[in-house]
Amino acid sequence: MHMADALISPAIGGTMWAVSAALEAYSINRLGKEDIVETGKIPMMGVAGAFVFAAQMINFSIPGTGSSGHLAGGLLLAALLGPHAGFLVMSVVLAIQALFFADGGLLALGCNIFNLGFFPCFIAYPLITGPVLRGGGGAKRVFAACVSGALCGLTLGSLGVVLETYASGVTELPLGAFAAFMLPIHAAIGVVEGIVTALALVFLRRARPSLTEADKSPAGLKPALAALALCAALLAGFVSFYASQNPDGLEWSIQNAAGHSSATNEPEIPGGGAEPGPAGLVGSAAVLVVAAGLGFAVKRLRKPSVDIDPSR
Amino acid sequence: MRYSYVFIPPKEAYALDAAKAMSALRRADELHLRKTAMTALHPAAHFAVAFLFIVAVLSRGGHSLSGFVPFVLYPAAVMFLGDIPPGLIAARVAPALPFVALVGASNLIFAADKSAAWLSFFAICVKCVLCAAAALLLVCVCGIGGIARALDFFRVPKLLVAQLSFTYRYLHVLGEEVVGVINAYSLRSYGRNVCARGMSIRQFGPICGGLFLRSLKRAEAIHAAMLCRGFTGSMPVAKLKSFSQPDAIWTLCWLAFFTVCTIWDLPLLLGNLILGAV
Repeated sequence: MHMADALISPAIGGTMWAVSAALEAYSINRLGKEDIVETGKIPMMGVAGAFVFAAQMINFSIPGTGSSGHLAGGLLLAALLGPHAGFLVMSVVLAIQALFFADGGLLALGCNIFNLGFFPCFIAYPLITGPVLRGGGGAKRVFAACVSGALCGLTLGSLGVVLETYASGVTELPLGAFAAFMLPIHAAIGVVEGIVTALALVFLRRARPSLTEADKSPAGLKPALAALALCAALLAGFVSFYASQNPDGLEWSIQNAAGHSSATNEPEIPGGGAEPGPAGLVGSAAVLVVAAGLGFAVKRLRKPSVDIDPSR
Repeated sequence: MRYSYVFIPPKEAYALDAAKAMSALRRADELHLRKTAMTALHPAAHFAVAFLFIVAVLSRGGHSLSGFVPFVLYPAAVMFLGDIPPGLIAARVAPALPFVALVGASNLIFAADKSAAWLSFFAICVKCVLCAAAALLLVCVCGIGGIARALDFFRVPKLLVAQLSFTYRYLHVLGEEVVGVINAYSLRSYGRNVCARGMSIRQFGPICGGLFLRSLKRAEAIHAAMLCRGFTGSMPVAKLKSFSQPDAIWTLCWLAFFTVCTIWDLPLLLGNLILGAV
């Protein structure tokens, strides 16, 4: 799932570098509040990164397919080190892969860090796997949590690859066809990744239970929302200036079939000649405000739940 | 008494892939230890030029392949001045091509103009080769130590630089452990070819977990040793030489060259000039 430099444009690469750098800064800031020197987290993070590398060299057979795969490691790192440290370690692993093995590129490193680090560490782990691991439970719950988390993380990561490649405009591959090719494959890979991660975590829980309780303070949704908002702002505010003037797939099909360019013959919007950058920013902000407003309104209109006191 | 015979395959191929990966890692890093014109420059200059090269190559449109020809000058110059074997770079770049070529081949299927589609397909492949070569050459001339110094020069947070150094150092140690793990598993699995088929998924989890526990023990021992030696949270980065005039000239000359190559198609201009004169 590593993206090469050749598949992205400088605009998308630069945007994702900015987003990943912001996430790195946030993670470093959060780690700076812990006593990572005395607790030995720094060498542990280095060893964990090397461990993920080493584990990726061991292939395991995938039952029923005749092929073999290897561990990706994002979810395992988040479970062992916490989401912030896990994200940093994953970004270092990806940097070494890009430099030494040409697995991904230098400009595409921002995209790879976001696809392979942000989704497992800041979306899948805090929302799905982390709560189950912190809440205790048997091996079945760990398996279910890891499989769900890995499925979510890898599917979202592959969706990121599809969107970044499509937004770069390097290939003529239609978005739907590309997504239909990538998402099911990575969903299946996610299931296997989840099983392998769960097997490792169950073993580690039995051997050293304290290891899988590394993250005492959950990351919450703030970093995820902030990263997605920054992404949207950069894409809408800057990358939209590089938007293609060529017709998209639907318009091109209509143009060839019917001889006119508009799919719906809709009239031009009066005064609709605004610059793409500011219009994109204003539009994104308006969508955000409307969505937040709807959410608050629904919350206020919902009837409050009645707490049942079991002692009565 | 009945005897059962077990076929024991030759063991030299068990951990070949892992051993090859570790050997390639070591070889790429050791090239920077030699004294060449490239190693005399500051790593930050190499890092900046490599990054600018990648941006320039990707900014070049895919409508003309001749426009990419001048860009070959940079990797060729680095290989020549740094005494880096081209075969090493070619062998490491080759595995990066198939997926990129597959995505680029989609242009041949979905694009309306087939001649433009072929041009864009080859342009994507050329970009992949050039960009991958630039990243590999950066490691060959700087090494991981040089890259850490370059990141420190660009004010990257010390925690991240420390993690890069730690991960790389431990990678060699754990790589040897992995070769041992694969050999041990293969010798006990009655001829199962772990390289080709991989180990059983049910056994991979505990093996992976055991590898992590051993790694953790090493990390704890190393942490204790580092604290005893005054470790305060950041790895000291050796400042062997400062960014000087030759480094700035190297960077600015390549920046100007890349800018010219991105804006104009130099071979096309040269060809028109020659044909016009003739």
